[in-house]
Amino acid sequence: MIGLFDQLRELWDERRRVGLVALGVLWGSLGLTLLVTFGLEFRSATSATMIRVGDDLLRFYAGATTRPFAGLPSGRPIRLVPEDGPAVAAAVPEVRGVSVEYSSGPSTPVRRGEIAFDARLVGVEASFGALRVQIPEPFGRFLSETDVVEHRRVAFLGDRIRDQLFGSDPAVGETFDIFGVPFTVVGVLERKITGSSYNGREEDKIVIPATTYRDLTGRRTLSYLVVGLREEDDDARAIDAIYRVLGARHRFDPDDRDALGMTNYVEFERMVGTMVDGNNVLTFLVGVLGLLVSVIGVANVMYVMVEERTREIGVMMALGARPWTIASQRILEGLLVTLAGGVAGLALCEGLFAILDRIPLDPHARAYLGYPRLSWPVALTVVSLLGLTGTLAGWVPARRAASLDPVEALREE
Amino acid sequence: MIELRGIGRDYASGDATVHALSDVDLEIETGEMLTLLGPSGSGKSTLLHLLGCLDRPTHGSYHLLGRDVSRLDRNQLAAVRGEQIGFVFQRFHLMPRSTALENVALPLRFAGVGARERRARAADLLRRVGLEDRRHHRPAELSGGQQQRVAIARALAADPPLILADEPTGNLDSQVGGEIVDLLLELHSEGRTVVVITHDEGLAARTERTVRLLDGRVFADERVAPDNG
Ligand SMILES: Nc1ncnc2c1ncn2[C@@H]1O[C@H](COP(=O)(O)OP(=O)(O)O)[C@@H](O)[C@H]1O
Ligand SMILES: [Mg+2]
Repeated sequence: MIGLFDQLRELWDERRRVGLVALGVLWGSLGLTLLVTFGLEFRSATSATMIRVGDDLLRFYAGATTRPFAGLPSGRPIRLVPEDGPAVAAAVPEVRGVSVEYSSGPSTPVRRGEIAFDARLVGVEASFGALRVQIPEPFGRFLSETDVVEHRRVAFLGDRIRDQLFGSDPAVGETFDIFGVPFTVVGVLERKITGSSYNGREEDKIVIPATTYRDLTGRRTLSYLVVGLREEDDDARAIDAIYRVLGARHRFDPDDRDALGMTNYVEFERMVGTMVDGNNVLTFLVGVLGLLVSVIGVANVMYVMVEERTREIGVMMALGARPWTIASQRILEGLLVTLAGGVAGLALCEGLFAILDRIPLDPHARAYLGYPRLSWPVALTVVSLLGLTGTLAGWVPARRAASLDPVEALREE
Repeated sequence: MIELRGIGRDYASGDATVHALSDVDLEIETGEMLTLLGPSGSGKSTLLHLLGCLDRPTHGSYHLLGRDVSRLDRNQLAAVRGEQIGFVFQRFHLMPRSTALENVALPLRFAGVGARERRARAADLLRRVGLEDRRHHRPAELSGGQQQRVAIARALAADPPLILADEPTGNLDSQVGGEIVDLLLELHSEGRTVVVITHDEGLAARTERTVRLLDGRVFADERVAPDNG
C-alpha cells in the first residue's frame, strides 16, 4: 500500500492543477452551504414574521349573499355586528379568542399642540392584543378589559404615530386629541416586521377601545371580526362551524361563502411554508448540481493525470504494484482534493456568516435574512456529499489506471 | 527455473491476427545468463514480457520456479513480479519526480517494507552500483548510464532471482553500455538468472547461451563458452 505521504507529494507535484480544481470544489461547497443555510434561515425567519401577524388567525368581514335563503333574496349585504364576536366564541370550541375590529381610513384628525395630521383609527377589544401580537414597548401596556368596559379614552399607538406626535419624548401617560377629544397614551407598539398587514401598517395606526370608537364615531357594524383558532389542523372544520353560527345569526346559507368575506391566515401560512420548502428543495438541488460540476472537474483533472502518467503506472505495475494499489491511490487522491477544497469552502462560509452578523442591516432585510449559522446537519451533509462525490471523482480515473495493460503502458515508442 | 511449453501469443490487428510468438519451447536453468537476439519485430519483447509475467500467453504453459503462472490473474501476476522478477528497460523508466533513492526503494513499498528499511536497502544498492553520492538526484540530473545503474539497483531491490533486461544498452554509447553489461554479468555471477535482449553480438559473445528469434519462433538456441577475455 502506498503511503499518504507519497500521495500528498504527488499532489504537491501537481499543485497548480490540483489547486485549481480544489478551488472549484471550494466554490461548489461554499455555494451549496450558503444556499442551504440561507434557505433554512429564510424559512424560520419567514414563519417568524408570519407568527408576528398572529397565530392561526381568521379574519371575517362584510359581504353579500349570492343565493336566496329562507325567503330572502340573493345579493343581500351582510354586515357583522359587535354581538357576533361573543356568539362565535361561545359556539365554536376550536376558537381560542375573538375580537371585533373597527378600522378607519387615514382620515381621523389627531392633534398634539402644534402637531396635527390625519391618521388611521382602530377600535378593538382587549383580546386583540394577544391575537394580533400587540407587544408594547417597555413602560407601556396594551388596552385592557376595563378600558373597553368603561369606554375609556385611552390609546395604544403604532411606533411611527408616536414618533410623529411625540418625537423622542416619552409618550405613555401623555395626552393628545382625536376628533378634538383628549386621549391618554397607555402604550406604544414595539417595532415589528410582519409578513402581511391589512388596511394600512400597524406602525401607522392608533388603537382605542371598540366601545370608545363607537361613542366617537357612532358606527356599529364591524370592519372585521378577528378569530384565533386553537389548532392549526382544524381550520376547515372551525370555519364551517363559524359560518353556521354567523349564517344562523344573519340568516344566510352557511355554504354561501361570499355572504361574509374571510381571510384565512392559517392557509396563508401553510402556502408560504410549502413555497419556502419547495424553494429550499430547489436551491439544494442547484447547490448539489454546482458541487457535482466542480467534482466532475476533479475527476477530469485526475483522469488527465492518469493519462499523462500511463507509463509511470505501467512501471509501478512492473515493479509489483497490484491494480488495487494503483486504483486506491486515485480514489484517495480524489477524496483528498475534494475534502480539502470542500472543508475550505465550509470554513469560508462560516467566516462569511460571522461577517454578516456584524454588518448593520435594514431591519426588514434582517427579518428575512436572520442570523444564518453553519449548522452541524448542514456541515455534515455537505461533508458526506463531498466524501461521496470525491470517491466517485476518483473512481473513474482509478478504474482507468487499474485496468491499464502494463505492456501497453510500457511500450517503448 | 523457467519452462515454456508451446507458447503462442497472438494479437488481433484489425481483421488479421498477428502471431507475435508461435510454438516457443524454452527452458532456462536457475543461474543461467541468456541473450535474446533477433531482428526487430521478431518477438523478443513479447517473449520477455511473458517471462516477466507482464503478459499472459494465448497458448501454451509457463512454469516459473515450478509454478504454472500462465493462468494467474492480474493481482497474482503483480505479486509474482514483485517477488521474483527485476526489470531493466531500454529507456530506464525511472520515476521522473522521485530521487534516485526513492526510485530504488519503490518496489519495496509495493512489497510492504517499512520506510526505514526501504531507505537503508536502497542506499546499499546505490552504493553497490557506485551512485551513493547521487542518492538525492532526480533522473533528469543523471546521465543515461547513471540512470540505467539506478534502474538496475531498483531491479535488485526486492532481491529477485530473475532479472529481465530489454535492450538495456540500446540508449547508451558503447563504453557506458559496456559498464552496464559488466553489471549484468556480475548479477549473473552471483547466481541470478539473467535474460537480456540485445542487438549487440559483442554482448551475446560474452554470455554462455544465445537464443535467436525469427518471426516469433526460436530459430537457434546456442550454448557456447562465454568469451569474457
Ligand atoms: N499490441 C500489439 N498489437 C499488435 N501487434 C503487436 C502488438 N505488440 C507486438 N505486436 C507485434 O508482434 C510482433 C513482435 O513484436 P515485439 O515482440 O515487440 O518484437 P521485438 O521486440 O523483437 O522487436 C511485431 O510484429 C509487432 O508488430
Ligand atoms: Mg522490442
